[in-house]
Amino acid sequence: MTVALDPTAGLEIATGAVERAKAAGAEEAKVLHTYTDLFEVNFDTHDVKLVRSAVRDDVEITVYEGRRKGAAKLTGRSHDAIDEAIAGALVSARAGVADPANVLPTEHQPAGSGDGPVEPDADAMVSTVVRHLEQMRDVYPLIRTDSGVYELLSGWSSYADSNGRQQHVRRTAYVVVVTVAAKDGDQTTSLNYTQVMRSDPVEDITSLDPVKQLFDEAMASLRTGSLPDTFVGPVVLAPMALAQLIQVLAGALGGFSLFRKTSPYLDSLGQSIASPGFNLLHRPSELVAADPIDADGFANTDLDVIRDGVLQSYLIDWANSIRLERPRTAGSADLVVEPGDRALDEIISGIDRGILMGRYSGGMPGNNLDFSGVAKNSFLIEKGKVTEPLSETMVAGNFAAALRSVVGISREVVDYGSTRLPWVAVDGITVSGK
Amino acid sequence: MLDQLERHAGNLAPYTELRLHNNYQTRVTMAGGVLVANEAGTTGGVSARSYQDGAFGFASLPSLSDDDVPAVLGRAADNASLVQRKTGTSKGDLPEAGAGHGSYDYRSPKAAVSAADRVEFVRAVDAYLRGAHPDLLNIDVTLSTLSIEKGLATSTGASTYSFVPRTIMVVQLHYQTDDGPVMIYDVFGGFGEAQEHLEGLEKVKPGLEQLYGELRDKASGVYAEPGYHDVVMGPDLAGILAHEAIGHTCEADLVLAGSVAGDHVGDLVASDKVTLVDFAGRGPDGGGGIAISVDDEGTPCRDVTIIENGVLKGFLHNKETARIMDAEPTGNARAFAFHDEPLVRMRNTAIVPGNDKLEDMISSVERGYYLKRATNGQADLTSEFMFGVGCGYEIVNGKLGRGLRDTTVAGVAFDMLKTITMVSDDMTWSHGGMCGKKQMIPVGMGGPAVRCRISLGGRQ
Repeated sequence: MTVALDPTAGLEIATGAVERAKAAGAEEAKVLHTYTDLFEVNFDTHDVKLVRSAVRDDVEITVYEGRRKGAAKLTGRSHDAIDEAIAGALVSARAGVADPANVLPTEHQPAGSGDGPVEPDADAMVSTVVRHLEQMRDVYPLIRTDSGVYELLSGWSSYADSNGRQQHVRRTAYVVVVTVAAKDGDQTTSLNYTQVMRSDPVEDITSLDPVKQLFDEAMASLRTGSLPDTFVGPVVLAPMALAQLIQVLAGALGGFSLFRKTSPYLDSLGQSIASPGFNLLHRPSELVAADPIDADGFANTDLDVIRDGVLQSYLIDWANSIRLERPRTAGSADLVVEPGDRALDEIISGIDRGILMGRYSGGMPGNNLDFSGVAKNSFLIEKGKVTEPLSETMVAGNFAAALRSVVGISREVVDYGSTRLPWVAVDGITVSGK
Repeated sequence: MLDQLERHAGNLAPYTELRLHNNYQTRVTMAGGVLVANEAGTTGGVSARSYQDGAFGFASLPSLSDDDVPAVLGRAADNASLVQRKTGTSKGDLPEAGAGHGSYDYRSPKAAVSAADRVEFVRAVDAYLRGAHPDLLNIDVTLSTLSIEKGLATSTGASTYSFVPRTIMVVQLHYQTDDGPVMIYDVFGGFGEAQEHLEGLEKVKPGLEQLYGELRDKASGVYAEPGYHDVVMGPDLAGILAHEAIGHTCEADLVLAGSVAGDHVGDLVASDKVTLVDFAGRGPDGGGGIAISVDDEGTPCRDVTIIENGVLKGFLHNKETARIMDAEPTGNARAFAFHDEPLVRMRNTAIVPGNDKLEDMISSVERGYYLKRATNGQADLTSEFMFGVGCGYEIVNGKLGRGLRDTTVAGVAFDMLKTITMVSDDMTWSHGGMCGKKQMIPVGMGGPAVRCRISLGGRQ
């Protein structure tokens, strides 16, 4: 029976499950309970298509025995279901392999409890979407929305372990996701998308900065041309393209890559790995999407990763900190790039021939950060000006090398809620046309 | 599940789907010689979707209890009513699509594999590679299983149960080179529960050895020359070509969003050697990665011929796109988890084999590339597509040459498909396809090798 689930009962559930795991024979145990209430309005070009309500009630149980661990995930909170999951986790642990990293931390720092509404204002959220659809008919009649979502995600994360460490935090975010193209007669642009997260209700979806940029770029991308040749030169990475490559960089700076020795940044702490002026910061305190706690119950705190091009800190979670015998730094990557001091137009005006890349659609970059892909939603830059939109244009290079070849960072930034990024111009990228 | 659904069948009005749904998953990962993941999980619950004159309302709860079904049905109806009240939409009824029935249970008759068996198999693979190839920088082995269990009843009379399992093992090998670590991976396994696939180390050794050889070739390999080239895409790439380049472009919801495919029905969009089908079942050779007989709207699934001898024939529909486009639902509405609504999704999508031999295709290329295995891919409304290539070789004077570092191929599908001049007579299905479109969902991708002309990303 779950009709009347108490959304705030997570800590009680987590501590209870830890006690049950100990009683079942676990030497140590940790439990993460997440309760999530989703209210979502889905729309396309013309209509509200679907309103969705979804409740999730998830428990993750990890048990330890002789430095071996086993884990189980389940939906629901009944004692029977939790006991069954604990039994499964113990079976896994006993079948496992010992690892010194299979131990619980003792250090504890309470996270802020967070705030925000639990119940959505359903009428208001549907009205916001209806207003957006009306505005789109007037302002952007050529934009086609493949899928649009406006949702409220709210809930609680609760952590408890057998060392007595506990966390109980609220999570709330209003999320807008739109995937669009422009279509005029037989001309269709590439699909492009954006996702924006905010702590307050979105009153005007159409005018939300990243969304408006998306629509304007799509309108400017009708009637593309092909690049006739191949050149090596500068590429201005728009925030969405930069976000994709920053994720890869975060992986390379993460404890898992260091432990497996697959990172190109082994033993790079204190060394220059990017151009001067490039600052990459872990800033969960400034990002709506950031989880207040990580999977090991640590509060998610701010950290400088790259400062003025120099690597200040890796992103090392608890287990890998033990394997690497290094300090734990961060259990997630909630990254921002600090803005520069030049306007985007000024950066572009200094480029004789290059491209402005809106989105990178490419193969999974290699361990050495080689990348190769299509420059989507992109524009040619000639003699300091953005000229025509491009199709069938490919880019290739190495992101580690590109970071050392930064030639401009804009003072304009885009705040997606999950990251906050400027436009960054890098040199030495191979750009090839049809 | 069917008995439970039967108890609520009388409350499904006016148009409602009621779904009981469990996803069972396990995962064991050895990385860097350490067992970093060893877990099992079940996510399950009940969902309902109601339709009123053009608007859907959906609701789900994390419970399979009878007591919660009325609340879910009520909330779904309320959500549909909310849209009606705020928009006054009036689009009429969904089309008749037949009502699917039956139980489609693909559990293995063999004894189940234990948690210890799963760990032991992964450890054996890791230990073998470590012993046989100490020059490897790192080895990651992940064995994962996913079984999707659904019971569905609809107000239109559908009543069906399914249990569809999949088991895959991903082996990732890393090698240190002068310019950094290089990685390659392959996926083993496929349709069925773990006991159908964990048949001992000897069975996978040849694949592991082949993968190691390919990694060494890649480590000492070259970057592709950027630009257009004559290329032979191996069967693994043909599958992702079918999925990314054509399949997505021909999903009816994307057609409604402006896909160029909408302007080309009846046109020659490919070489006459190309026939491409989204199979409802497991395909002509029974090797498709998934099996669906009734979709999540209760529509009996049927094969959809998307391209026949080069001519664009049709699209993939759910009931709503069929209503809008005055077409027949094809059984392509699928939801991944209990809290997900059904969307238009592919099933087993493949290019149909031709008459050529792979070795003849390679020997016919004077200078170009043999692209063997894809990584990821993306589609577009313009039919422009890309996919990453993690394993490939040069072709020089009709023979395979040096290995290739990671590259990407891209093109406009309706141009590129016209350049196909040869199609091999064999067929391979990829084992581990997951497609992302609001929700991730398992898909089957397959095909023969094709010879074509396409653009590669590379370095000068």
